[in-house]
Amino acid sequence: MFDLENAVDRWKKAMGKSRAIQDGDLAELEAYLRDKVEDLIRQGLNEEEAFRRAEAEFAGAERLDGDFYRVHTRRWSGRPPWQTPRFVPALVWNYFKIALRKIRRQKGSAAITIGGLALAMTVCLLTILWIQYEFSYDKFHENGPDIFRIVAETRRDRSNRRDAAPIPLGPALAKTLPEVRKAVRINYGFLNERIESPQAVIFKNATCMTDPDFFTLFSFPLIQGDPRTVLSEPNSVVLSETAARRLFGNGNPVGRTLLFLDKKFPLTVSGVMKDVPKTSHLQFDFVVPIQMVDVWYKNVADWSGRWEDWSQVLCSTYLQLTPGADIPAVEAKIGRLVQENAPKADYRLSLQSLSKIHLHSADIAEGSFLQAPPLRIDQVRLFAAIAFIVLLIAAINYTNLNMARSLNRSKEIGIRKVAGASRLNIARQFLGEALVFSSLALCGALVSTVLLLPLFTSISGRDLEISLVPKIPLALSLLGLTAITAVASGLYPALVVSSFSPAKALKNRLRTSRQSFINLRRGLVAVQIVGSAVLTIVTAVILFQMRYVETKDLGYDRKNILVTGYPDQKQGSAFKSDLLRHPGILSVASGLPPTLGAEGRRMAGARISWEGKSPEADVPMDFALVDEIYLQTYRMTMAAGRFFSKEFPADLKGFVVNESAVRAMGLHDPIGKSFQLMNRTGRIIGVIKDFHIGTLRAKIAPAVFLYSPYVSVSIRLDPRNIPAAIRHIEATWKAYNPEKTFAYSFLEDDLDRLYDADRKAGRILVVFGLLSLAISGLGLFGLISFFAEQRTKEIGIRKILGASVLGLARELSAEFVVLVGGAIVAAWAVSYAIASRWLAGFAYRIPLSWWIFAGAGALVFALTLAAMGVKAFRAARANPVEALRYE
Amino acid sequence: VISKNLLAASTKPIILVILKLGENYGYRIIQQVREISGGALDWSEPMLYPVLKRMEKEGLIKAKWKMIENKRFRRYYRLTDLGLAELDKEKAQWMTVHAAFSRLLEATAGLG
Repeated sequence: MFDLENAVDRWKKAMGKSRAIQDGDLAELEAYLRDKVEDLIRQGLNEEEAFRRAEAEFAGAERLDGDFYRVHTRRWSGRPPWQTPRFVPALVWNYFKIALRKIRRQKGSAAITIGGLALAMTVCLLTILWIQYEFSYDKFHENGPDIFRIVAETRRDRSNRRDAAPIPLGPALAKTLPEVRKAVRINYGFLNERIESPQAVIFKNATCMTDPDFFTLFSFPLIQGDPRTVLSEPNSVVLSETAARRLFGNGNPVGRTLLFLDKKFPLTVSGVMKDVPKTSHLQFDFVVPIQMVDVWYKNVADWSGRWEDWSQVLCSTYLQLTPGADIPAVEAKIGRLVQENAPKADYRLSLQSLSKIHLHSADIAEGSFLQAPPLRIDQVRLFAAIAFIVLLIAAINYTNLNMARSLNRSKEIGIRKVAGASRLNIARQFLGEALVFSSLALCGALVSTVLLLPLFTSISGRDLEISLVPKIPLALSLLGLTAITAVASGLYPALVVSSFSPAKALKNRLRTSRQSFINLRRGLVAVQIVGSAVLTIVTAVILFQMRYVETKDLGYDRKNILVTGYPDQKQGSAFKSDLLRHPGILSVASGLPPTLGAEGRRMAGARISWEGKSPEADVPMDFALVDEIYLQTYRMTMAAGRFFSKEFPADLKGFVVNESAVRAMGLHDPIGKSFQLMNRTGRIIGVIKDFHIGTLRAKIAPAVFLYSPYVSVSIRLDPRNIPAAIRHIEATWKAYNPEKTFAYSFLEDDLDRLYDADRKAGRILVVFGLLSLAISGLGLFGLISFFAEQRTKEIGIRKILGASVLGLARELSAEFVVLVGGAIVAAWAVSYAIASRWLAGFAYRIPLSWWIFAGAGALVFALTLAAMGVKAFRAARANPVEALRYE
Repeated sequence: VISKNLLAASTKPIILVILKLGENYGYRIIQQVREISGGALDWSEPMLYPVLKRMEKEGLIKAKWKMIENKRFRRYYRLTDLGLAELDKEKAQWMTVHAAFSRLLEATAGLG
């Protein structure tokens, strides 16, 4: 029988538990309840119904509670202390506690998962930092978005893309097109030209010959000098801080004189600029007015006719357009301008935006030494993919181990469900745990990233930094990384575990042998092994290619060659014969090392002709000035004819070409044919065997040698006596240049620098590959120990029945052998695709032979089996009594 | 139905006006408001009490327990001088808003 007074009392008790409703308030609410009940009874309801309806209004008691609290409190948020903040789900502290307890109880597997995740996140973080760095190239220019560079290609077949335009184009565009605000041409001086101040002389330098607008179009900040006028005088030069220090010490260089080009050309320093940032695709120490070209190239050619020459593309040109200019329209206008001035031009021009130069120039011919080597976007993608695979492997580790362990936690889940937890609650708990794990891993990853960064910086050759002041993109990517890791690793366990039916979970009826579970776990392990095997194979391919690059016969002997400058033309030959007096010096030749392409001495095809040249032939060639000792100094070999020699004075006016040049010109019997380079005409006297000019990325280009004894000196040293020989060279140098510093370099070091980018990328990949192998090894080890644990009883019984240890170990690992084998086969296909794509960037490369795949596959197979074998063997050897004791 | 925000904003002036008519208690206030508004102003009922409590704390209203029918107590509220002044202020504000709103509506009436 319903008793109203009892019901009200019970209601009062329940309401009284609230912390903010005071006795007086409660009495008033009671009065309200009674008023309402009376009212409802008057309307014809019975006592019970009336009470139920009136009581129902207090269902939101929690909110009422909060409203009362808010009347008293001075808290700014008005949130009662017993309510968790809205963004934290209820029970979160409990989840947190459970997660920490789990870590403490199962130190081994927690270490494996957190350590693996931390390693993987380290890889990702380093990759993110590196990619960020690569994308930061040329981003420091204020006019950046509006700056474009002109790219030329052959009109016929759109081949031979290169960074060049006709010389008169730039000024003409600035004058006639309203969209073009400024145009700047850049021509490059040769490396190893002589630059002299009263205190010092240097030979290694990068000189940029350009238009006066250079410093207002680009943002290379000046320390001294006005960017608008600093290049307006024809004899002015701007130099970098470092060059200023080397040439003038700490004195103020502005207004002082520098002698360029064998003392013949005095320039007055008009400004000093900050050193060019490493993240600029243009790299230079000196900037001089473009008119210098006339003098600079005098040795080889008469440049004077070129200022109005529209028929060929000879110098880099950069444009600053008005913001929002229509690029295709501008390109079309440029095309029309070219058409008007050079109706027969065999090139077409397009615009490349400044921000794309560093990463999207793979199809553009390797530029001058003034440009930082571009990075292929493929390379960036490869690294991003690798970082992703590594993270995936670590996430799979977590998923696998967590799935395995969650079955052991079925009691906890059962209790939670019985106590009213919804599926969502459980899923949230598991995801939360994954988040705890990945946050811990992030802490570890941050520490190891900071520790590894110096090492990574030195092997990658990039100035990476992880600053303590958080940067928003970096902070965001950290959060994103943590969240992605948590979701990737925790989502599946969360979904599966939350679907357990509480009754079964509590009775421990959940079977790990459910087919879908096993299949899934097998699949994940397979993915993991595929990932590691792909990384191993790709790493191996990169390693072999690197070794190939380092040891390939370049067509000349690169060992023990020292390169230095020369005193001046008059004393050149005396200097050389004095050098030869020392027994440690085997030969002395004039001429730069054969890495011509890398030095930027490429002559346009239009300037070259030969006997029987067809009108449409266009063969650009690298050229070098050498003397008669050059061949023997570099130990190169002739394929036909002879090299320059003093015995045949007539030959000195001739040319020596390489085999590629013969092929490109289509000559069958080249010796004796007449040949013309710019305005110099002679006969081809010999064909030299092909040698590598630039990096192995590029095919060997046609090249031609001219005789000239007055350039930098290459010296072959006796390897047994190098320090003494260097002392002798220095002493000789001082005798000819008493007040100048002696500067030299070894060819091998220079070559190393040339291959640096690839070698460094290779090293990073190797490190990443090893890391990922370690991570997946850890995961497999953990998983197998779990399987062995699950089957302890089975193993015990089998042993009692007489199974042998070996047989049991085989039985335990049989399933994995098939799995690992299959995964490796899949990995072969994937890594073949990746590796062949990467190798395609090299003109000279290793064949993708089967044994690389077989070897790497065998390695992964052996490692996984070894991990498995150890575990399986230990499980099989355990005392069966221990295993069965609890039955 | 009146929006949540407007409902919240209008609670205080309406309570002030009702109490100007004389002493009153919670349940009755709710009933009166519902009747006068034809059911449009339907306050979620127990929510009134924290509001009353706050107004009491601000000194706008005063409360007294009274025995009714010798059976049980009810808490009756009445307006204080401060509450009266507050009502004037509120009235002025509502009227300003109302006047501006109606004038604007008149101005737009011709626009269809």
